[in-house]
Amino acid sequence: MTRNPIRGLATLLVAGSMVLLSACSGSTAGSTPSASALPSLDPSKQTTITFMEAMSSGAQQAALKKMTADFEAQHPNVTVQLQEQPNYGALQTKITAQVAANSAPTIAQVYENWADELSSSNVIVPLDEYVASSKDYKDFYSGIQADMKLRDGKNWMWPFNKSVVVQYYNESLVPKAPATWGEFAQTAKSVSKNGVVALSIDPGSETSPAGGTALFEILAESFGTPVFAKDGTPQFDSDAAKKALNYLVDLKKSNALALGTNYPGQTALGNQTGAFDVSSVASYPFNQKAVGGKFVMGVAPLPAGTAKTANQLAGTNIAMFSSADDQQKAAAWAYMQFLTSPAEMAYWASQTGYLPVVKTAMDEQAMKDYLAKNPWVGDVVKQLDTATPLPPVSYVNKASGALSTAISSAVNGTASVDDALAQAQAAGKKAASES
Amino acid sequence: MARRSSRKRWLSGLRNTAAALIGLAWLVPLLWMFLSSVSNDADVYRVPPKLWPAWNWGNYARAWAARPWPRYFANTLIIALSVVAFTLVTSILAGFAFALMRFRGSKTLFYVVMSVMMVPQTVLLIPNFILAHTTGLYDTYWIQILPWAASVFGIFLLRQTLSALPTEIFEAAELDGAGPVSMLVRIAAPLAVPSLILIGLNTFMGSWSSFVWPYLMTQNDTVRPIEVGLQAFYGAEGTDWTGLSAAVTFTTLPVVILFFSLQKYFVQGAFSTQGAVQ
Repeated sequence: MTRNPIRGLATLLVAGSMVLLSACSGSTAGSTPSASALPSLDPSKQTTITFMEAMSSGAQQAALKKMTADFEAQHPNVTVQLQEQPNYGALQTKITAQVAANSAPTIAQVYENWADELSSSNVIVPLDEYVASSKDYKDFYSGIQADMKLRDGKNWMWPFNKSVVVQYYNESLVPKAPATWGEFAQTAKSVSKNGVVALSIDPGSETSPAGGTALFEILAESFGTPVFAKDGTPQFDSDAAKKALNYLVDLKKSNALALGTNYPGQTALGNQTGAFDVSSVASYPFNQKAVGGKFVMGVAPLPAGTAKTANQLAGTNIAMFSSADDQQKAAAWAYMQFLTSPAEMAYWASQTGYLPVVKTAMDEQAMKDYLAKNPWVGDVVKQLDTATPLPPVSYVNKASGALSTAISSAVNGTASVDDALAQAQAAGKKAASES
Repeated sequence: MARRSSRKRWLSGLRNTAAALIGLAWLVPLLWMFLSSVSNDADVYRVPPKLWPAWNWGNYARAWAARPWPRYFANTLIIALSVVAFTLVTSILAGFAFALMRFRGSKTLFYVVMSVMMVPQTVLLIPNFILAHTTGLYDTYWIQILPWAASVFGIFLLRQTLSALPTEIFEAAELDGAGPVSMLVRIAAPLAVPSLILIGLNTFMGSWSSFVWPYLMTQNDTVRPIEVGLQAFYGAEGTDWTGLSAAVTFTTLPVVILFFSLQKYFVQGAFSTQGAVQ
């Protein structure tokens, strides 16, 4: 999860426009593909599809453009228009607006909870038939396969840029990555001196939960109970959640934790006032830039908790919109499969730091070369089998927002851990009941 | 007497020093932005920044190559100047009518216009987006100009400015046979020049720095303004700070130059309308 300036705005707009989405559903529901046959791509027809995405800068932009150009070269009758949006908040706003205006893109990057909203309005198509026809699906990591489904058990999404959380650390301060959260706390406290605060996190805000909240959610699961039950019910006041929040409060009291905004862990690690950054594996190129060779930056999987080694599956999938015609759907499906083919996934991962969603990508030369330079990726990628995403329910952002507030108030000492989590639980349940 | 004069000088010196310090404080973010724009990636995270950076001018080349800036500049100028022109015309017309013309329901209409100020634009974004699509204005210059062609602030300011003028001027003009258009063009507009400049500058800067509206209402670089282009440096997982700082430096420069070259009018306008508003 990342923080951005208009994510809060996006949340407001999405909430306000659900009525419009529902209104649009009537005219589009009928175009869901029948069980009998998938649309096939007619090579004699010129087809243009639009892909609304947020890979709009740096290595991500360059890699996606190259992959798209390669696809077009292989399919001369298909043109893929990349509709870049500056960030995920902006992407959500734009998808919502375009759907409401009956001008949805052919495909778009979506988070699981967005897909839940879009599927309930019938503006995206279920992909079960498509998935059944895929030759690579069986090689997807099991966590990825699970992530493609919504609560109804159907596949609504196709994976794309997936990541998990890792620990980045300054090897001159932390020679060996902690293996457990207990060790992590010990190390963090011992290195927090002479202007160093071991870890900086951004919990985000009520409308825009960020990486610090994801860390808390991972901690709670590591200590025994995930913050959301499998059906999406908030369980923010569990003993594990209390233990997780007490863990953060204790770090703060020991001057080993600071709260900030806008990738504070990356900033602190880069300017050597922090020892760790706990963030997405896709932050790797940005962290490398921030460190700039000042010290050796270690990367390791997250430590284990008292109950398990938990991780959160992050990043987005691709959804196909029902307003596309059959030719566009066929072209989009060809493009989606192309993006997740082993060779393309190996290229994508090696360029961007995202993890390849298909196991066979690890056999590709590009991935082998990448692994030789970054051996830690081999350990981290295995977590795609076990990492879990936040539940695909529409209220998940709002409920996580309540956790952001709880983290800030407990860590800053304006509320006790129990009170902060009780309030968050009440807010989470309210969000669930209102959805 | 001498003591009073010395105290005055001391107070004046203190006031000037405080003003200079506040002025310098306002320059700090600009200086920081410039220093970041010529820093290495790793140095950009230093707090406070290095006062003698690596002078990495390559950041400018990279930022310039990242987006079609000349196109963005041209788009932004076209949009901002058009919005200013429309706003000035609509503001003086409406301000004149509300201030000096008596017609039934003028007060009610004025309050209706003012009430637009109270509506948060955010809640109207989606309906406006649908409207833009329906009217075929989506992804054009016009969708970035027409909705801002009238300014409630401009109408309010000119109504107050013109209301404060002695009515005798207009009564005399009327006796001389001047009609409303003549009074507007020959008397009201020239007397309202400071207010018009203030409205023009405010509108220009607002248009130059607007983001959410043009971002939502456009898709292609051919019509997009600078602010939307700057988003290219914000990634989903991090920000290219040195590239962003370089781009912000060369895109902010025209506005800074404009402000300094016209600041006399800006201040004049603000002060001349102060009494009117009160």
